[in-house]
Amino acid sequence: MPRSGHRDGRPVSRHIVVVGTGAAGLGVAQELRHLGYDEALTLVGAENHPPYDRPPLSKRFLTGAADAEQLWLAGPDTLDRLGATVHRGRRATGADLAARTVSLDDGRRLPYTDLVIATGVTPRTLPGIAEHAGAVTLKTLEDAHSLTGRLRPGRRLVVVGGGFLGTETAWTALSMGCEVTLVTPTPTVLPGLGEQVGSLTGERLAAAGATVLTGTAVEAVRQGDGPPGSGDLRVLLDNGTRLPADTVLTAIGSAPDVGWCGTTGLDLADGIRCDAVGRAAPGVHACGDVAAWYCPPHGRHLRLEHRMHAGDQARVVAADLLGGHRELDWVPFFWTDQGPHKIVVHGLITPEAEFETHEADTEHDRFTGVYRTNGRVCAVLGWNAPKQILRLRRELLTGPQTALGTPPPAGAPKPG
Amino acid sequence: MKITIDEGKCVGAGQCVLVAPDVFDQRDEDGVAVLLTEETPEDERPRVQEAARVCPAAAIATDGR
Repeated sequence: MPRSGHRDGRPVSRHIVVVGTGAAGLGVAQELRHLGYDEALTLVGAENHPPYDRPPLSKRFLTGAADAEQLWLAGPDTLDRLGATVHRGRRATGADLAARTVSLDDGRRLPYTDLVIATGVTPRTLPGIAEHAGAVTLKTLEDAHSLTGRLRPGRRLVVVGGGFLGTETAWTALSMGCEVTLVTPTPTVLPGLGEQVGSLTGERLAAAGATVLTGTAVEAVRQGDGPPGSGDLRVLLDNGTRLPADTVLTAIGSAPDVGWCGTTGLDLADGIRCDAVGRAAPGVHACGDVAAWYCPPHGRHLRLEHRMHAGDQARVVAADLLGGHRELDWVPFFWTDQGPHKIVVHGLITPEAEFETHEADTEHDRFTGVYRTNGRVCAVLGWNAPKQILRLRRELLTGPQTALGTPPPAGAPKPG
Repeated sequence: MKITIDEGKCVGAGQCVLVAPDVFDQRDEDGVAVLLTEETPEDERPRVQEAARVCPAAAIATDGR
């Protein structure tokens, strides 16, 4: 079947519709134009803002060091130059893959020749928590606006969840003078980085003034004694403790935003299942946090919620849409700013991986480390060592001794 | 060619160093990107533009074209 420009043997003018205007969706659009695509392009974004960057929401934006304009990935002028039709503040409600149309929540139905799904993820919440003023999540600019107004000196913030978002926000709130308690059911914070790095991060967070309660789950959030709506809350823990709070941030992970794809027939087992270049079905690609791409070096599908991954995938999708090919960088990369400490990871830390310190410089509070699975390097980590970690990546993550440097064995499952 | 790095935006990912190692380096203490030379030769333009495109913080800007 011709991949583009034709249908039933007849040439049709092309119309690429991208649903989602975060780093992934915008990235596809920009890369398409960069590669010379000059036909119709439409962007659909649920939020009523120019496309913006999310990582600073828990850091520089929350403290006020950056304003919304500094987060824009494409301001109004850049968007104009993109030459795309932009539907802002609109959500897709469904798609008919046979008819090649996507429906929006204003009743509009957009015909497409190619659809790119980049709708991202939505924060998970605790049951019954949303009814309380002061119980918040952090995903959008509005969320960050609302949270920053609550983080006044002396105010009590309880963070539920010890992942990247929870810990980063805890650090930021400490720097703003808040009383911070972080609660996580895992044995350490940042459990994905293993026991050693997680413990260290938790110790540093506690030393900076936070109360870090690991191995503890939240059972419920209740209204405190203050007047309703005052934001006086009580967080009930599974050990019987009741934590008073002015604000409760729930940061327990996210779910792919695929509710609107229910009748499309797409494989939605974990986000949208795609092959190694982001194809989900004829005429449909997906990328970014919402997409689980087949990863040849690992022989399985991976859905990664990393900022860098979204941009990488976007460029691969754009190339594929135009009949070209760009290889995804199969060494994932992410960073997290833990207050003054920057953690950078290249590679994929599998749950069974074992961590070993590689080089340490205690004087500068700096080290690098290596994660191994069955003796093979699967990831490298830098603690305050962003420069050293790149060298380590070059040395250790490209050779045949690494999990990522080895092609999949013959007969490995085919993408699908 | 003219290149500007927004140090406030830079997250120290080092992707620019991977793409254009003769143009970019990182500060030791925080990984923030720095230019290796005051003047960047015009023949580095394709690599610099690629670096600007892959930068996860959109912190690199180049003069037109």
